[in-house]
Amino acid sequence: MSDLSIAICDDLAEERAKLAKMVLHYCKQKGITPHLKLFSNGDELLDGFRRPGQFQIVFLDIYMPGRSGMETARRIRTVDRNVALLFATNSQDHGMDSFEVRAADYLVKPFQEEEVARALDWCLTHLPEPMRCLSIYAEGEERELPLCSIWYIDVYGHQCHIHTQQETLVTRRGLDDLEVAIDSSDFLRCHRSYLVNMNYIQGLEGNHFRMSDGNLIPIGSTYSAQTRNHFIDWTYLKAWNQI
Amino acid sequence: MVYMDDVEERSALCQKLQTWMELSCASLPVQIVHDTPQERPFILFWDLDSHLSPPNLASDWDCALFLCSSDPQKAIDSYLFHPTGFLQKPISMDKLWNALLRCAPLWWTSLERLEVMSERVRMQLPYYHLIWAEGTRRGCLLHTTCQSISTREPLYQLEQRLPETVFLRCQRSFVINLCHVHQVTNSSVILSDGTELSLGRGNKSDLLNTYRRFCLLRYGDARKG
Repeated sequence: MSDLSIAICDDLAEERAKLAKMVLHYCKQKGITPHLKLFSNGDELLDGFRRPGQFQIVFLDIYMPGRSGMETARRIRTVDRNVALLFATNSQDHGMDSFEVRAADYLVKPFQEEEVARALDWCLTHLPEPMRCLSIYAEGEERELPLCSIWYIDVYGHQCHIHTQQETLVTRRGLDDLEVAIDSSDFLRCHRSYLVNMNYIQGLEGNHFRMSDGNLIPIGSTYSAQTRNHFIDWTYLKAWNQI
Repeated sequence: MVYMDDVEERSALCQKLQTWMELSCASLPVQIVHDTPQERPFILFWDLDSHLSPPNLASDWDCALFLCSSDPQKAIDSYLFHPTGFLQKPISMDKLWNALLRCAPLWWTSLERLEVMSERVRMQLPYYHLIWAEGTRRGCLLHTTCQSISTREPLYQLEQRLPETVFLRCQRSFVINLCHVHQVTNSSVILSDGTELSLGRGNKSDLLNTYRRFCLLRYGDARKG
């Protein structure tokens, strides 16, 4: 983890600056490059929070003019299910509510730098799947590829081609090795030479998966029934998580 | 696993867990522990009002920790253990249901499934995801949360394989899953996928009674009936 996108939302400038200082100090100690944005109210934060993954960590005060921090958190959850929300507030009355928005921590002011560090430590070790990256050496440089950006990987000769929305990267790592490194329930080895991200499967077509980019990925005959059931099961589990 | 000193509260929680399993068509063993568990549990309910403090499981993807207390102020302190959820006692069925949904991947494999053959592919559908089934000339059509699946099996035969607690015939050609009922009117039933099905004359009172019983179990009252 080298970059971390963090938002701090507090109506008091002094509190914002104090927390920002603690966060920057933590990042410096951990060798992380922080991308820090400060907001003075919930609406301002929501205006700046346009897509999932824009921020990995959000610190929220609760009592602010206009939209409260709790209400802002509920709105954020409709945009991003995975962002780590940390309440930093004077109030001790919203502990129960904080669990409803799946907060990562609840810091009661005045808090110490160690408390912030402990909360951030936990966030970093529990970053959700879409933030996880695959480290590869491709085209002469080390790359950190977010797992969520990978559509599928196929083997070509002694190389693997990693297909993403933007580009196709070629690496000399083997598919077995990449599969172990990825270690994600979203990925399915449907063929000796193919590993697919099921989030990008549009549907089953005969003995193939139709991918979002229109390509057809073959399903190996050895694992045909197993692969189909695995994919169907995965779609139901995904649907369950969205209920 | 459940750790709770108070016998009444513990049996109430275990009863609710049994009800949840029955309605979700899941089958999981419930184990009561009186001490810190030796083996890592999948799901652990721990009462903060009991004499032992919770184990530091650092709630990970392979384990869910739910802390319970009658004091809502303990919710903030409980972040020290990073639980999956905090439940205020007495624990309502609705809160328990939502809490368990959060850790669905942990009990996913214990969901009971309906095995059907469709277009030469054998599928295992979790019962919960079957919203309704309709009889067709060539068998029946299963409407699930993800897709519609056709099978050659006749509806009456399929119905016999569905759990009676949650599946009910509301008309000659329709079987519905009560977990997916949004509203019951005088003449029809509206399901979670927006489908409105008319009620058969002979099935109406049966459906209303069964649905009322279901609501008592699921929500603790008969409000939706």
